[in-house]
Amino acid sequence: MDHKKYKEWIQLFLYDELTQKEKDELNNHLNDCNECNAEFEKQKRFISVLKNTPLSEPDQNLLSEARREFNAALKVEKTKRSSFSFPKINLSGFFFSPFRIAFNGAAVLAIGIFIGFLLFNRQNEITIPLIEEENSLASLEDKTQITNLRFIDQDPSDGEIEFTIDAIKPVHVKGKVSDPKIQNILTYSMLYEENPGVRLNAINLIKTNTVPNKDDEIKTALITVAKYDTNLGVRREGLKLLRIFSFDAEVREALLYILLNDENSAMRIEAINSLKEISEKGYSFNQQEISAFRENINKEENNYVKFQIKNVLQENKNEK
Amino acid sequence: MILSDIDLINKAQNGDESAFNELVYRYDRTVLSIALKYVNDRDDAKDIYQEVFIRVFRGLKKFQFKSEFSTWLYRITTNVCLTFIRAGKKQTMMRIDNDMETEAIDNIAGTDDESNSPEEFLLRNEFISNVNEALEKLSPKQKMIFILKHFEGYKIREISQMLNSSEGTIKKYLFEANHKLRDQLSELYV
Repeated sequence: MDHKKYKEWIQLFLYDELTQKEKDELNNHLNDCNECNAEFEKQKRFISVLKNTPLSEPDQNLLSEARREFNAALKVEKTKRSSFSFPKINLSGFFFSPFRIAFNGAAVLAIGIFIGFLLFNRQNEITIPLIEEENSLASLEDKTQITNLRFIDQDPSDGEIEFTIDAIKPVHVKGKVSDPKIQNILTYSMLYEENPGVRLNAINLIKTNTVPNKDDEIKTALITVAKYDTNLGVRREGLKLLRIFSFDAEVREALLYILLNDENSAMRIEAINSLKEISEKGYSFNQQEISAFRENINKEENNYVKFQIKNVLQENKNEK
Repeated sequence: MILSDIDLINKAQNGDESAFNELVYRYDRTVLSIALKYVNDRDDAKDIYQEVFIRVFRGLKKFQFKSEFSTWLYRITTNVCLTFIRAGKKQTMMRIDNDMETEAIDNIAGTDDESNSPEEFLLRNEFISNVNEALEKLSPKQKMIFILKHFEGYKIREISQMLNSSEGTIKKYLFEANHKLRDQLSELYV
């Protein structure tokens, strides 16, 4: 008798990995075999005990940290590549105009990271030549922070060494909030600043001067923030500000995404309110959108959201 | 509208940053979950997460839809896990992370449920610790396959795609892992 086979099948059976035919064969065998029956009970207990032993699951904090660190690493990665272009946020004007004297905070001068990825396919790293220019390092100024020193040539035998650094230099900015260059910086900060308070401030400042339906870059950035920012306050402000734009396909998609995916009911309420507004303005949702609404009704826990989804579906039905 | 993976990949391949983000955020919890269970260390899990998605970023341009995106992603994840070497850290057995422990104790403080008594909590932690200790003694492949099968609930067919191995090979590793774990944890279930 091939007990080994059946003992393995017992394991597969408990994981629901056997075909019906195999299950029947195993059952027949278990009816006649005490040894395998005992093994079945043992394995069942073992699996059951392990099932009640949940290993660590990532919590929201860990996920947020992982995302944040990945985004930082991705920025560096992008400086190494030019094959992925990111046309949405373009700060080129800022970096190549007299305006660059400003930017209060840690605007990254360093070059490698910032200019390369944001703007052009330029040389990503700036080397500081120490050749005959006594002041070349001094030009970095006292407040410049030097990090990430990487040697290219650390052999001093010929009297020279060569390395690259990242230089982060604070710059002071003053300008009109309506200035497109300022808006670009704020948009960038809204997306990438580490501190949620700064991201929130950036949104609030953008709010004061955004021209509805004209700033596509801002709209795209707001959609990203509303969908993905790890901070609820930032997501919510992003979503609120999104309402000033026309509810085109892109915005509708974002609202539906939030309605279906955001864990926070306040976000879902905000999203369904906007979608209801769209419906009241006479827009007929397409079949795919209707399916998304229907899918959400079944899993929605918030009664208000559920009620409003039903209203939207009803209105949409009446329209047709 | 909710875009399919294929749409998002096409967009990301054409430089759409938000599409790339959406792809990442669609799957990253699972990636982190596999990594955390495998290395049992929050910092290491974050390192693996980062490495996985950097590789996705680098490789997405050449992704040719010969497999599901998720299969490709999880293949990268398992590869990164299997080759992961803790940098400058001791090989740790399961430890209950301080944050997690505090959180768990806080949860207990708010309930009268006897099943969540401090004694129960300590016992449970000890139990989890034993399981992780036993997992650490498996070979990397045995451990990965057991985690994917038992704790993440993937079908053997899916695991074979992720690890690029035959279903027979996966079963073999699974049986070996099961056998070893049962030996080591016999006191807990007999």
